[in-house]
Amino acid sequence: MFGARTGRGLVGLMFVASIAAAACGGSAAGDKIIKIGGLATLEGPFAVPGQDGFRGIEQALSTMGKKLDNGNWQFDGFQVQLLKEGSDATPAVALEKAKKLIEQNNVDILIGPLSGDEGLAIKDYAKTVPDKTFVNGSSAAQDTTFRAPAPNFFRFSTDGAQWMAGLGKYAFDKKGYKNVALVAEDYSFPYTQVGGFMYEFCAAGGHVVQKNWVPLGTKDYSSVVSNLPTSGIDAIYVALGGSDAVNFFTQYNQAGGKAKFIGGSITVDQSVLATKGAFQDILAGTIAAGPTADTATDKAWLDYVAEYHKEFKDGLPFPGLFALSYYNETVGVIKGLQAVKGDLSGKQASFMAALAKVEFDGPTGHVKLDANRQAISSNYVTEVQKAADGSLQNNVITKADNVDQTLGLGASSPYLAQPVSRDFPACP
Amino acid sequence: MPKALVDLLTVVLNGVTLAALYFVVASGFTLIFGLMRTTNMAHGSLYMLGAYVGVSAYDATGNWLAALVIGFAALAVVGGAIHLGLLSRMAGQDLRQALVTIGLSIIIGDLLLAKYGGLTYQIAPPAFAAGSVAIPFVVNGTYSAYRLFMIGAAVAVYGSLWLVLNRTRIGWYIRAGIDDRDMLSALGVNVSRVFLFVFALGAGLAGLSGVIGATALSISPSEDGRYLLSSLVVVIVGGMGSLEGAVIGALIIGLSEQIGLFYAPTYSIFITFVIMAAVLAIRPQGLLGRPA
Amino acid sequence: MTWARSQQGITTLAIVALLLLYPQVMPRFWVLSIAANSMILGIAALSLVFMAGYGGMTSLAQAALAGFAAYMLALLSLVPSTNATGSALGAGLPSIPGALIAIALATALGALFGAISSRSYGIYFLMLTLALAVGFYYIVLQNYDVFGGHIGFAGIEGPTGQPREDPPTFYYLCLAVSAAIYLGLRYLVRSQLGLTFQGMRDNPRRMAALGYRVGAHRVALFGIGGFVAGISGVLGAWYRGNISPGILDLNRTIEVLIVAVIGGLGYPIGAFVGAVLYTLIKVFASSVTIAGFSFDERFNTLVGLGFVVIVLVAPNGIVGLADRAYRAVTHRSGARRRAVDPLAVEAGLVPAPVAQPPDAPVIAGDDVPTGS
Repeated sequence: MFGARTGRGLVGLMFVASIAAAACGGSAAGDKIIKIGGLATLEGPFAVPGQDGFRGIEQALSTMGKKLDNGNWQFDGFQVQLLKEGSDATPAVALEKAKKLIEQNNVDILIGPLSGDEGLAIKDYAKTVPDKTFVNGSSAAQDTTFRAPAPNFFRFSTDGAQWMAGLGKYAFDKKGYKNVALVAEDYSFPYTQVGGFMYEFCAAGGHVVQKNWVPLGTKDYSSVVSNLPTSGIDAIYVALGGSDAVNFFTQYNQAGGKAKFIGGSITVDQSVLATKGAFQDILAGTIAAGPTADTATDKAWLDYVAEYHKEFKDGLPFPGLFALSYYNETVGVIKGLQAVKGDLSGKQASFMAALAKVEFDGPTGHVKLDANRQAISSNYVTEVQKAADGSLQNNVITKADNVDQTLGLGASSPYLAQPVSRDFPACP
Repeated sequence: MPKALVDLLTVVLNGVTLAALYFVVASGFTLIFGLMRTTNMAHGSLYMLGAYVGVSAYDATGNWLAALVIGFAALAVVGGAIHLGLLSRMAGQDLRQALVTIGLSIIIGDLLLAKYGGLTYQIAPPAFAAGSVAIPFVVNGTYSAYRLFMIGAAVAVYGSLWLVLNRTRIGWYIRAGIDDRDMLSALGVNVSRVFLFVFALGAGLAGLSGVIGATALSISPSEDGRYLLSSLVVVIVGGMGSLEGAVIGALIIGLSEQIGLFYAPTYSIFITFVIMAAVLAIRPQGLLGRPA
Repeated sequence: MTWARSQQGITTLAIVALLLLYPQVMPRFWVLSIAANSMILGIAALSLVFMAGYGGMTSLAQAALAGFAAYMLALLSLVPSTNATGSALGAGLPSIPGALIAIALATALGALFGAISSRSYGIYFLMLTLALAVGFYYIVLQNYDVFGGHIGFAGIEGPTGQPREDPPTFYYLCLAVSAAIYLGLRYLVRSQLGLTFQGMRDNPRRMAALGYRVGAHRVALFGIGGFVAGISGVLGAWYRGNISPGILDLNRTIEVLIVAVIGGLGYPIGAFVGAVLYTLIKVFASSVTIAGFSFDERFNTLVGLGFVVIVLVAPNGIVGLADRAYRAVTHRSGARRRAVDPLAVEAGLVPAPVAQPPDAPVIAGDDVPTGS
């Protein structure tokens, strides 16, 4: 019976080891320590945004508090300890890591996750842990707060539809685009972005004549390019990110395409513009929208960027929307903690009540929460333009303040009657 | 010419050019499997490593051809090291070799992420294959010059491999080894040196294809799994160890992927795997494979 | 011998007592995220160990079969429109009947996979099952009408309610199921059917010549593999409460194989040992520091290195390694005992003491027909 016996011996050893490890998890005495768990993506294509998200958390803590030698941050009457976990952008792993932070590390507040489907999973999990506070990271699915929200889930960042605020109107009114075709990855974040664009664009009278939903994992877009109409459209709306955007633009360029582009919030961001390649020639004039604009000139934004560069020598050229989202979430949390002087007693009820009332002026504008604990804040419409040195940059065209989750349409609008999907909304 | 026909011709051309890339990626994989029965699960990682090496080499030299040569040479060295350091120690143990290469692929992927980050990189095509060329009967009347060049590159790789296999002494050893490994060593040939050569060549081809792919498309983290899967599917459909099988497998997969993407995008990737399962269920050794 | 046997009985009793006591003394995280999670993963790995060990069928479809059962469970047991994602799907069955039907369907799908792959062996079998798994993943990912697409389903609840509310009960459920499967498979391999499976693994041609229908038996074996994997899938769905395509993607597929290999493909208990070890590594690798180098962000490198080392130094996994070490010690002390797990010997996995090295026990040799 040795095989089974040694196997059993090992099982026994593991018990001892695990009991010992569990016993080591005690907390230090002294000033009251609030444990905050940070959750972002550290594996796969979203690893870089994930690192930037963590920079956002740390920058907010360092700006508002004082970093101590023990790695914590000191605030008036309490300390904050940050524990970080990485996911791989799948809901299953995000849940595992969230459970680890909440149940093993006993964090009081969780900030995260990064991507939309993870956010939906965490919201559902939040409902089962009513005595802990969940604050979003940068995940931007509409229904994380819009339909069936969790009472202990807060989002101080705007969602993927809000990130499109102003774009549909600008495309129709100012650019004169009446008919567009769209190319987007086939999952919930692009659905939300396309929805946000179409709310305004369709309401203004525009038509989306063709939708190309491209399965995740597709790298060769040549037949998607071949499928695009060569006449009868004024522009192509592209909601792709990272390498997918690079691949699509490259192949569209190589196929000799000449259309104008409208971009999603991560379609023409720094990660795409920084990739050298001939495809860049066709990007000038692309309009897009999002919660950040690299070349914004508001003082709060410039201060924020300067602080970011001072704090992180290895940071990106500009803090992107992921850094900003995590930054704003963390600012909201600290303001809430300050309002109750770090008192989380009573199953955090008074803290959550204070958190729901938090308002502040962030780097890009005023931030406040609606009845579903969802941010109402600012958004930019940008245009890709050639800078003096020949490089491409996103310049601010317009900025909208106090954008709510319905983009001003009201919750009873027919455009919000259903969750966004492949087929909804539609205005062919 | 009716639009439907133009569409079809364009999509077929898209499929054939994609098949050219798939063939070059899979050629090294099938060569290694054919001789050594090693299923190199790190093949996609070698593709990715080759692509990143090519990016760095292109940055340093500004010359596409130099990037291609460096990508090939660097990966041949890496492949040789993997063979000598790990795989030759477990010769004949297919599963263990496959498992070790799974572990390697996890490490390579993670280290590349550490070095190059999550950004997307692209290599500029050589001047003679830049931009688009006018050809009739395709959508818009123009087509990517580089994609047409890829067909030429695939033909060149096939031709070179054919020459090596059929017109050189080592090629003779390799073919003999594919047919009967025991006989080869019985003839007094230094089998381990032949194995080393083939593994280095296969890995070098993965590196070469990485440079070609990073030019046609781009390179970013986690593309290793994708190219490993495409190589597996191509080689299994065609028949493992057969160069001609890899050509046929690549054409079937490239065409089905692009035709699917055009006419039924939602299930385009799924279709590829249905084809593979169907081929294997009917002909377990692949279309041109021989029973082992 | 009686002393040895009673010592063995005491060890077993102690282990059982520890297992029963564990959830009473450990915090929730250790009961659920480590222990229950490991058992669920271990059952999936056991389905692979069983198929590989007793049928020479190293299947990469086990995560897909488990995921299939989880999706079937969701479709059968969710109540339309009231579930958390607001999906209109769901038959509203109680959890137990839903689970039984889901497991039956996974068994059927396993048998179907078996029929498709009945003529493939060795590495071809591995690849064919990988293709079936990945193909199924893409259906689930892309189909919103039945499988809920990229988001999947939420709000699945098992017979013990939410595991978080009552960790010990869910733990005992997993423990009872694990033990039942483990003992059931042990019984099965000693039966006539089990011996037939092993005969086919070792020499399919001879068995065919003896009049056994090799193809049909392989279908049956895959069906059993689907049954066991399906149970893992159902428990996993109850544990997580929600399901999404991520539970059966390529990473999860490889994960099952890694767990089985870490534990030892020749040892059924290895599936659970491997699962516990893998879960601990996964959870704690990010806080490991070796020689001043923190694996905080590079924990995958650590996982990969660990895996390579295990394959290199312990081809029969941790259990195989411990087994060998134990044998070496007892040989020196002069004790004469049976040197290997009789289960493994019966399986022909670990050859009777000091025979040829059991390096790659599961991939069949060159004499296996590859069809046609």
